[in-house]
Amino acid sequence: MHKALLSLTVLLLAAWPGAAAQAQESQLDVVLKRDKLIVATYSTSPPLAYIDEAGKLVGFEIDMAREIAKDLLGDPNKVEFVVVQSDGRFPAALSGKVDFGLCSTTITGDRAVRIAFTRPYLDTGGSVIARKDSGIKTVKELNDAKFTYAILNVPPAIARAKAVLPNVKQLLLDSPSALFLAVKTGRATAFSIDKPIADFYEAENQDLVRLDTADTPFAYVFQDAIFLKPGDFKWWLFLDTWVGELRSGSRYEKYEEMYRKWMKKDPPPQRFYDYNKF
Amino acid sequence: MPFDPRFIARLIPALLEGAEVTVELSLLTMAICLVGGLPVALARSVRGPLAWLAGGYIQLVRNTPLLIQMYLVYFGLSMAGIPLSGFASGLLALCLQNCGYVAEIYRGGLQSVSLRQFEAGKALGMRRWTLYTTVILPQVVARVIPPLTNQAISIIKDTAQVAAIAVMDVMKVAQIWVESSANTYDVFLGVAIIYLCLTSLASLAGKLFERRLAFAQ
Repeated sequence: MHKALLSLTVLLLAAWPGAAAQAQESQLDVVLKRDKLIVATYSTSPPLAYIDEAGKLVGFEIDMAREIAKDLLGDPNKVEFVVVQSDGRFPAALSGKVDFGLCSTTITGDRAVRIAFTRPYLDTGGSVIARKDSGIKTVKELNDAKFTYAILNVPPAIARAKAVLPNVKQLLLDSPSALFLAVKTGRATAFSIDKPIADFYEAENQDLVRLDTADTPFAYVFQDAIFLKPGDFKWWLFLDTWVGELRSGSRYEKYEEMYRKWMKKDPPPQRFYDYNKF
Repeated sequence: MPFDPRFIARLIPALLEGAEVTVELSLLTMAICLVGGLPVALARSVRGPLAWLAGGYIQLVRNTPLLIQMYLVYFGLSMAGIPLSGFASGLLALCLQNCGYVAEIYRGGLQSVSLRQFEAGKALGMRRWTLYTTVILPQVVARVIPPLTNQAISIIKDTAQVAAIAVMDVMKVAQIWVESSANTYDVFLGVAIIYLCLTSLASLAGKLFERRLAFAQ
């Protein structure tokens, strides 16, 4: 028994990230040498990353990863997607299995302790979608013990539900598609999900309706960013610069194009003033 | 940074709270299956439509994934207008599946007793009840303890799947902590240790029973 425990401990320690001395090579050089980018993505969060009717992985984030591959390696197809679940995304990046993660991941202070984020590439926030037959129109009306409210088991959603909707019954599920299923099958009255995903579901389903979030913290913006293993300045700097240029610099046109293609609307403006009149 | 002691100190009480639900779910499933497996095993050992029904049930629950069964109970029954809670749905799915396994364990135990012992008992003029309670069942019970212990361990681990249907078990609590902290290693190592403790307790209990019933062999 003691022997078994000892060998288990040794095994765990050996498998522990950082236990072995890490080579100091930047992931940027690793990617260039490998001539292929490896990216962790989701497959169940339309329109950011999902499997389309033809069975292909598509979406805003998929296009973004391809653009990065194009700039890095000259070919948008030199990218391998590793589909992860939400609890597998951070270990995928921390263990070096992927070069970075592009998984509709919201920046939070707690997460930033252990994982590095680039600047955000997308403004998101909670939108609440309800069944039309429930008859409710606003988030405030949802705050009633007779309703059930499905959310992802992620801290911002849980905290917001506690603060804004203390009376409603909470249902914590682990993927956007499970939330959708819960509302479709009548398990839940409403569900909350990142705005771009909510836009998609609302457009595709006539029996669902978006609730008015006015005067609630649901109207506040959260920010999604690329995440990677901390400590690799060169790699982080490349990705952060890349996102900055996409979102508000030299590649804004591409951002606009991708945004219109997947979100079916215009992105936030490049600057909040008219550059030519400034 | 794995092995962050302050993080682990905050994590442990939360995980233990989730572990309570895991223990409740495991114990209830075990108790229900210990009883519920018996009629299924008996139905399977007689000839006729009852055996066919029991066999079909066992095939169905054993050969489909537990997660699918949970989804069917949780979302499917809700669509049919019977919205069971997550806990009740999880318990029902766990029991449905494990009753099938336990029934097969009982059947194996019964079949392992040689037919000659039945004949010998009858030849000695024992009544059916006496024959079963003094000769057959003590042997069956002693023989099914090891596979039942295995089953108990697998039940404990299977309960982790209720996290998918919104039950706040130790796995669900862990998922929430991973989401908030990005500290997957510490959290999942903590969860693994909790499951290891629970399953070790189950095998210890199995060992004790086995030792007490050793006389029957």
